[in-house]
Amino acid sequence: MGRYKNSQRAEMLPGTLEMLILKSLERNAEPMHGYGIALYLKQISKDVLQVEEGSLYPALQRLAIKGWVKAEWGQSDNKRRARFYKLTPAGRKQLRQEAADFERLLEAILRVMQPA
Amino acid sequence: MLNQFLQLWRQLLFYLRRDRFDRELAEEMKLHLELKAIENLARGMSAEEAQYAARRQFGNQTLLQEVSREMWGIRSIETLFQDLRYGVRMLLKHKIFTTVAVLSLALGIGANTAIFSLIDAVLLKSLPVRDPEQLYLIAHAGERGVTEVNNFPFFEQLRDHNQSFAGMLAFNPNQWKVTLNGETEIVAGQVVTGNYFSVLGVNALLGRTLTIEDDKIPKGRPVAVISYAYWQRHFGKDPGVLGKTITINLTPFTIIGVTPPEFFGLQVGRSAEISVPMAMHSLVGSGANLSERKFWWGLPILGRLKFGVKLEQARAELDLLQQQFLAEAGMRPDRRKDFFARVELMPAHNGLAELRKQFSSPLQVLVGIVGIVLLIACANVANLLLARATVRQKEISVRLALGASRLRLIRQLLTESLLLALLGGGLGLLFAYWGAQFLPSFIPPKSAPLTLQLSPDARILGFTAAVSLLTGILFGLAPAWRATQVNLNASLKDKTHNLGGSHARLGFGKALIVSQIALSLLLLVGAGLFVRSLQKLRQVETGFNNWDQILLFSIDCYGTAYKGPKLSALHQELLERMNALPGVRSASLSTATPIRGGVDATRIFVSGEAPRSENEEINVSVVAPKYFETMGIPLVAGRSFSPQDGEQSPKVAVVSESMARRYFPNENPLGRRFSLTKQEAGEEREIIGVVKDAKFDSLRKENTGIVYISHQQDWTRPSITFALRTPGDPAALIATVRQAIQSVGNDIPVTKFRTLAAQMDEALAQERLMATLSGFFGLLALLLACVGLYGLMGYAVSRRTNEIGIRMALGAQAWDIVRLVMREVMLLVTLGIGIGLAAALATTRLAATLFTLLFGLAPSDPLTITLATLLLIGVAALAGYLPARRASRVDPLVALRDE
Repeated sequence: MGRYKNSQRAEMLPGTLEMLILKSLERNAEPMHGYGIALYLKQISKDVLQVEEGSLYPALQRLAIKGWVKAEWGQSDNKRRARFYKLTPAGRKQLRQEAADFERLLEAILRVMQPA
Repeated sequence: MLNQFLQLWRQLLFYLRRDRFDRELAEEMKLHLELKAIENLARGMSAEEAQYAARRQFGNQTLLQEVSREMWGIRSIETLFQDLRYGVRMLLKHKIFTTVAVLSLALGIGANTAIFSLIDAVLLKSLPVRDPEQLYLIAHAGERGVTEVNNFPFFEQLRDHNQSFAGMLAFNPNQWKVTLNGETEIVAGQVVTGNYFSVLGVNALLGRTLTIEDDKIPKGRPVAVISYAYWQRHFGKDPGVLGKTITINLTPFTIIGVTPPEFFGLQVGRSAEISVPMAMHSLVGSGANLSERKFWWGLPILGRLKFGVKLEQARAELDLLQQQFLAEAGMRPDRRKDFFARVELMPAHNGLAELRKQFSSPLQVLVGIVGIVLLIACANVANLLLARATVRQKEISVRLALGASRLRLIRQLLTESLLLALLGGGLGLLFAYWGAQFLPSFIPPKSAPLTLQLSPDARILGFTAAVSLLTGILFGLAPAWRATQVNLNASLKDKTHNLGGSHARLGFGKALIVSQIALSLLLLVGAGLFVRSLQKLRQVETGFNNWDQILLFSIDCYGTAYKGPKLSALHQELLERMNALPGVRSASLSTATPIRGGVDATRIFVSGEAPRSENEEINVSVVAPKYFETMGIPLVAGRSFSPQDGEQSPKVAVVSESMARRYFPNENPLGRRFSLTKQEAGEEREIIGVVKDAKFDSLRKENTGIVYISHQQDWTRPSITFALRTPGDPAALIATVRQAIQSVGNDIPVTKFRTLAAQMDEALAQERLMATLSGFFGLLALLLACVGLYGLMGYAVSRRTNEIGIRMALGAQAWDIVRLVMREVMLLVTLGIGIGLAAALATTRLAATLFTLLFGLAPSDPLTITLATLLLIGVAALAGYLPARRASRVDPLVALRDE
């Protein structure tokens, strides 16, 4: 149960998906629905990060429990009913925290991977 | 912290709205799919392809829904409720199975709960008072042992001069003739010091409890506090009870309060129904003089240790006070050395209990017994579950194939088991409650009817719940494991005899049966040992002929006005009165109580011989004329006491055969002289007769000999037992005798009325308890094991129907089939017996307690073991024969057709 890793696309470091979702919401400033978030990630990362729906929705749920995003029903572009996700203040704080952690981690990895 | 709380709140909201969540998620995903399809269209796929590709990319929607839901973490609650609902449905569907299983469990769990509640009441339960761990009983110890007697001046000394105790109380238990509204009954009560209730921290339920004010003036305040039970029984819980009058031993008392229902006094097994101030002692107490410093009597003293004071410190302080007191009051040095060398403080948080010493070994053994019964019951239910699991193979396989995780399925099956266990536990509690009602009838009342607080309380309920849960897991885990260990491919096809699991099931089932039989044998042997012990004890030669015609009653004039010549006169008058009663053939008295009475023992000095060692003593009993004919003790040589042996005549004595053997081996004891105290010339007695030995001490002890002295030639003791022989039923005489005693004096402290037969029963209480309970549980275990055997063989036979059909078609007779099945049955039984015997012999070596409980038998007694084994074989063979017979009746045609 709970096999929610990306098996076909580039493997994401565990936990980064949530950080990326939060960041997307921050960057976009406007609330986005699930598909929109996936699209956004794909576009900004130039097609490298392609999120599977199987990972996206569970991650969104997890963010919702923690209170980092808030979901609301609204109207999409083509007048369809969709659920939009919005970043909360707590989410913003969490994003900053995770971003800082990630940067530290990234630095460390880069340092190791540098040519001798 | 707040985050956690908010999260929980969100989770709760989610749980309540989970259906809506499913819908919304579905809608959300639908949109996502559409958008994806649109994207594909834009890439140039056809409409159909676009949709198809989108869906494929999306992945397993159902799975996604599940996983999303899972994120909310309420999964466990959901599944729990799901499992519970499903479990209940399953149980209702298979009613017979459920009934049998629940009944088996109820018997096992109920037995355990009943014994536990007994143990709790006797051994464990704390007194319902404030801070019971701070209460200590003040006792005296010396070389010969411990004693709990005190006197009132000693109590005052301790109370007034100690620093270590926050309070000290004393009480004196009594039995009173209480008259209420014209009706009289014998009631257990107590005389207490004024601070009794405040030291204990017990508040009145109604009215007030006694205070120090009530205890100031001797005979000043005739007030009484009654127990809840008494209030309920006699006043129907009428709140107007305050101010009403009851008469205790002819003195009227006013009721001023009622104690709470759980309070019963300080002595476990005895309920003090009425409490009155110590100041009233001279009117209703046991008669001892409160200012008497030299006599020590039954006045328990308890102290409440101050917090922070070390026990040893308190003890040492009391020691000092005791030394001071003894220095002033004086005490024989040998008595001091024997019992009053120092003070002992004994924890009293669970009350004072004579019962504890008597019953802690048997209770321990009983715990083992009921534990085994529970195991057997569990094995039965496990087997039943396995059988059911086999039937549900198909269902389980389908669910596994659909993607259910094995763990999930096991959890669900386990929930069913737990449900069964809890149902069994609930019913078991009921059984235990009923059973516990008649348990106290085995435990003898010392001087008043036994009242054990056996009501279910939180601790007992907790125990039952814990046992039920453990039981559920115990018998549920293995079958659940087995059941889900399925070869999917094979089971989804229809061939029932291709089930790979069922062979294993049969093997496991057989192992269970064998262990059940082994355990049953263990219990049957144990039961047999106890039953035969009891039998042997009952057959012990008491030495009293026709002892079912004897009535006994005891009086204790210690400390009363009956002293010296008045005492002798009282005894004489009572004797004459008793002898004159119609229906009484002869009456007499003695200081030694027959069968398990305390017997005085002393050294004797045979004239003309060197004194024997200091520790060698012989029992002594002071008796009235006609004692031997009243008690039915045959005279062997010489003569018995006659009226001629009066005060002024030469002192005489009668001895028992053992005494003669001990002190005068190979000689004729008649005519020999001895004295009971140091060689005092004038005090020597001549042996005029020899009687057969009789049991005055425990039935288990060997006869060590006894010396009888005439009460006309010796000082009379205040505590004696009257014996009356009647040709009819002794119990019928009680009322008449009571009246006769009344007419002699209405302040005579009678302590006990009982027939000799009842006295014997009392002496054998522990053995009777063990024999009855172990017998009951042994048979119960046997029944459970045989039910299991029957079930298993039934299943085994049904699986072999095909084979049986073939055999019969090939010419086998019914008898051959029976033999075939029985062979298997007997194999199981023999294996079980073998293991059981080995276990029995092994454990008896370890069970030292077992040995002390038995009498006349070794734990490995061959006859008992043989009998138990035969019984087991017989019943088990019957249990196995029934399915065998069914098998032989099978119609071969039907059998062959069965797939």
